[in-house]
Amino acid sequence: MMTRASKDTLTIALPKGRVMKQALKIFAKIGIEPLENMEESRKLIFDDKKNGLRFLVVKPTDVPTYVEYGAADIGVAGKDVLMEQERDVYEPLDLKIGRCRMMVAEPAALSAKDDPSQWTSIRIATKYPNITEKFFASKGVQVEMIKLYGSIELAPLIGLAERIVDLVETGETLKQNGLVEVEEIMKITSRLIVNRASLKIKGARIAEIIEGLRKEVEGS
Amino acid sequence: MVQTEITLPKGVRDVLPERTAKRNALIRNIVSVFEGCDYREVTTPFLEYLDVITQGAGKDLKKRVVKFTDRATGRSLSLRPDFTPQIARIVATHYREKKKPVRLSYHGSVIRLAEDASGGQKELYQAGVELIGAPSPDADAEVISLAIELLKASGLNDFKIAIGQVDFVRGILDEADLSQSDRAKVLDAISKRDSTLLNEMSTTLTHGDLLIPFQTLLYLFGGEDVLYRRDEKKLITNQRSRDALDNIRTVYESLKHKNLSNYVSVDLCEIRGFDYHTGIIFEGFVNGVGSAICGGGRYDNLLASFGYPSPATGFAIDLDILMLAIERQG
Repeated sequence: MMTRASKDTLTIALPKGRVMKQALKIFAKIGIEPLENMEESRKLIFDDKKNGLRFLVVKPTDVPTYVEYGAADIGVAGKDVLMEQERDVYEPLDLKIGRCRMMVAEPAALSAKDDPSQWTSIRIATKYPNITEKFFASKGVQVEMIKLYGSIELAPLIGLAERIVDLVETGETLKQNGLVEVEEIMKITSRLIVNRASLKIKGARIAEIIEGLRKEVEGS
Repeated sequence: MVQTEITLPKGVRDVLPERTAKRNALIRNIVSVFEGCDYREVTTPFLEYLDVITQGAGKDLKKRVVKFTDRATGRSLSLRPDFTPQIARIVATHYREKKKPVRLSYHGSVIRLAEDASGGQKELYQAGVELIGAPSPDADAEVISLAIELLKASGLNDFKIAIGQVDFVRGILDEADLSQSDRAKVLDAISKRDSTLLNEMSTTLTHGDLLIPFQTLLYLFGGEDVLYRRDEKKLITNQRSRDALDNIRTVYESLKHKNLSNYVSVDLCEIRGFDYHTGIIFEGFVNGVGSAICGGGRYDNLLASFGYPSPATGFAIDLDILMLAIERQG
């Protein structure tokens, strides 16, 4: 069964997990709220026909895809995902949630005698090959990329790659695995993203949402 | 199971009889709308010399051309990436002595390299018009109304044509007098409506205060009210942007006069289009279809690169997105 949203409905794609909880809190402050508790339900679509709203729960890395193709009008996506995928979406607002950093890290023992300014060719394990490639290309460093889908910290411990590029929040995971930060690539937060067609067609409603959220985010 | 050896390259496909019939009916309809407005159909080759077809095109199009080498001459060849430079070439060679303006239409495939990281190419079926030798805002309004009429004639009723003016942003950028890398960054931020990036830049730019108009710029989309803001004198302090605003107002009023304003939205922040665009630009959008169904605009400098300076405007519609929109509308 296909349940396409009507033209008066605004569809919002949210990333399943912790960021969704924080995003819902901010949306609630401007009166945009699902009718039921999305975190406790296993449903993926939440309709609020009266207010012309629809919420979708999707995997964080899929949010930009839903928004780019217009399956959702707006969404919440991490800057890491946006940079990695380079999807054609607008990203008008930093929601200042989901804060973390994209880092280059390596084992403490290696770091002790390592000089990153001397790197010309390195092997990196990461979930973010595109970001990694661009970052090192700008420094003239060649990268042999090992793309992994999780447990990146494991790679240097067993010699799969000497170094990793990954998100670091508190640094605890790195520490427990004997890794240290070498260099920060960028700071990451979650962004409000908007489909191009939606901005043109539902401009007034979306402008109001961006403006409302901006006040909440910048006021706090 | 189909043998993998006989699969197609990425981005192209067969069109079977049922869909071909639908598409042909749509094309016949489009051609008759074009003819009704005095646009005469031309046929252009699928193969061109690379340096000729990319003459006057910006680097964005150049990067997206499928190219290979001509065995006879060793020159680079290109599959047709865009009709507009071909029409410009035709007018610059065959229509020099003819009465202006010239109205031409076309339909057919273009092939471009994919913009994303998929590494493939993409074949699009386009139909469009070019109106050459007409500098006035009326000419812009003419092609925009034709786009509206076309979408209506194709059976769509819920769509918007978003119009912009590339000189509006360019004027503000010129005034800001940024270094080349800062300008590129600001353009990137504007094209993504990324206020965060602009904020970050305001601390590093020498003319940080000039970012204020850019911040406001991100919000200059919506209806008619965007064209008539009370704070415009404060916001726009350069002549180029002011002229651009006057120009887009004239076009808007002309469309309003034709009772078409309910199909039109305004986006002064839009800078997307090809690098050859010089004035009014526009794109058509349908609810639930994420990408533009048609797009076009003014390109007053392109014909000069073919040795025959002449103002021009036009647009192209993407047949597959149009069909998708029609199917979705039900």
